[in-house]
Amino acid sequence: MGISGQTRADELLEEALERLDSYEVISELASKPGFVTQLARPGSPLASATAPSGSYVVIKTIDLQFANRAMWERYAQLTCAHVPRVLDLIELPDALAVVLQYIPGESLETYMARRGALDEGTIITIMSQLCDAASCLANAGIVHRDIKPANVILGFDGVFLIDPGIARIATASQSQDTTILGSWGYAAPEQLGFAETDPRSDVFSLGRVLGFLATGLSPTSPEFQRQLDAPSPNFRPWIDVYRRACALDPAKRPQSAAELEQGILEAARGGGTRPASRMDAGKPEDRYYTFEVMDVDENGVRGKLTQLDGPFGQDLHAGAPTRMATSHPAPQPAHIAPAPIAPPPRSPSAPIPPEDASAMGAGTKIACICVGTLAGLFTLAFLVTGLTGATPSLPRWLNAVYGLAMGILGNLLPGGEIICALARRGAYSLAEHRAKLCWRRILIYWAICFAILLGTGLVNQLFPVP
Amino acid sequence: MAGFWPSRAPMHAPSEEPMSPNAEPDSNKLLDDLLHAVSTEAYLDELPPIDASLSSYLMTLLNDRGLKRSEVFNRAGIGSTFGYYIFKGERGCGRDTAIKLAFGMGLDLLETQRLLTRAGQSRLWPKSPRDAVIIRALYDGATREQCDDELYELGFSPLMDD
Repeated sequence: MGISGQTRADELLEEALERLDSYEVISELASKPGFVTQLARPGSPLASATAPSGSYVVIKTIDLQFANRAMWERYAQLTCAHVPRVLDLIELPDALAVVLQYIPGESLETYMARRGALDEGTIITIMSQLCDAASCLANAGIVHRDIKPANVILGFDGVFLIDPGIARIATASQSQDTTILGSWGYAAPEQLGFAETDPRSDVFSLGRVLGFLATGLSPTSPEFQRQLDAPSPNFRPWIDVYRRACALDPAKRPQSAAELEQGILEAARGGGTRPASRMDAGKPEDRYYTFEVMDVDENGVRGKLTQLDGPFGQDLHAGAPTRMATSHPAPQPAHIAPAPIAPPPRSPSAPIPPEDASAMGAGTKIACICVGTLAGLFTLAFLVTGLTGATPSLPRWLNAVYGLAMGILGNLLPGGEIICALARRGAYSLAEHRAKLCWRRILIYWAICFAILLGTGLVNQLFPVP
Repeated sequence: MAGFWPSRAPMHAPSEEPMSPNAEPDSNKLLDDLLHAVSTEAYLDELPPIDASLSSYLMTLLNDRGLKRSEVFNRAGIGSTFGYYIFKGERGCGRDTAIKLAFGMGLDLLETQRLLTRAGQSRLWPKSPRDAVIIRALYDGATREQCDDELYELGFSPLMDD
């Protein structure tokens, strides 16, 4: 077929390929029949128009027989704090390509493999944010249907529920799901085909996740079944919530994820408080970063943030953590109607962690101004000292250069390091991040100053002015 | 024919490409290795894994050159849907379509010959007058349209008729 015989379908495909090929695929994250998930990055301004500049994305290519276009269109409208955003939906002749935010961090599954059963504060943190995500989906009429630890990512911005690959739109008219899918051990019984799934099916899965977090055991293991009869001290506070959430009859479960969350908070010893969302925490300007999860506690996810060099950083398949994310909400692509962005929820009673950089906004600015002013003044002083003749045996211009160099190395550069560290809000533990980046270079600058000073003294000794 | 379009390089036969770590092994070298191997098994043991499918070769070329499929289809004069399935490996392509793809991707003569082999088509043969025009066009870096113009003027069927 010559190009002159291009049909309307060809033109649409050309446009779709233009958008899809604007991303540069880095590696394949997962592949199973009908589903391919790839890590990519914007390779052209066209891609950058939909993805935040410098961010990695996930491209899920789903065969048309498995793709639920209506569900993805609804999913693309979501602006949930704990659900990755859809950046683009690209229709191909035989597949649907969904471009999503990529979340840096660690899956709950691998985190639990090294941590085991979690304490109360951590459970509340994780379950609250997961229930948030499930509620957000339910409000849009979406049932995830695959909530399990492998689909939960502990990231810089909190806990994320990913991979709604088998999600569907809940409809009251159907008597049962048309496709029997789900993950064994976490899928609600109705997902086996007995009845239609609805948001209470996700509540069941959330209950299973709660049991997993409290025991460290897979819900399908015999040890977990024994815990149901004789719960461990760690599981005991949650056993009633768990039983209710995992009731066979959906009518006996909490009717929503929000209700489940309330039950979890009430079951916590002394009554739990909803942890603050970290969506308003400071985010690095350079969005190419990795996030290594260290711990999760009542304040949220703690980890080590490492910014990568340059706009494209290091390749992620060179051994870095498995996932990456954007740190700012992405602009909605033009062909999907934009939804208003709601401010992230925050409990008024939840204290702001002292190391949270977002709480230091005004103070940070004042500190930066003070440090900058002092550094500038001292540099000027060094320059004046140089001009007045620090080393009489040398010409005046050389003294001025000497003074300026000492001023820059000894004051301006260290001052700049401090300002950058104050302004950079990458790590959760700001003090740790600041200490790591700032002092090493500052010591090098001062060492060079000291060397120059020694050299100057030597010159004065060797060539004294008569 | 000389001077119809500016020559890209002095007139000489294409030489063997130097092997880079990611380049495909040259067939002539492999043939030499095979004929001088102690045994066929020894040759097969040393033979690096090569994906000989058309779609993988096309995708490799696409990624290496940073091209987009839509651009390639436009330059090649191929319908997007047709081209999409060729790249996916779900459709084969005829000889002229493969040559059009070569023009669309800006391949040189050696790469075009590989493409034709992977497409299950016969390679370009200088003894065929029509092929000679195409060979010269590829060698000189002409576009598909320029090649078609020359083919038409010399009384051969253009590629666009495929």
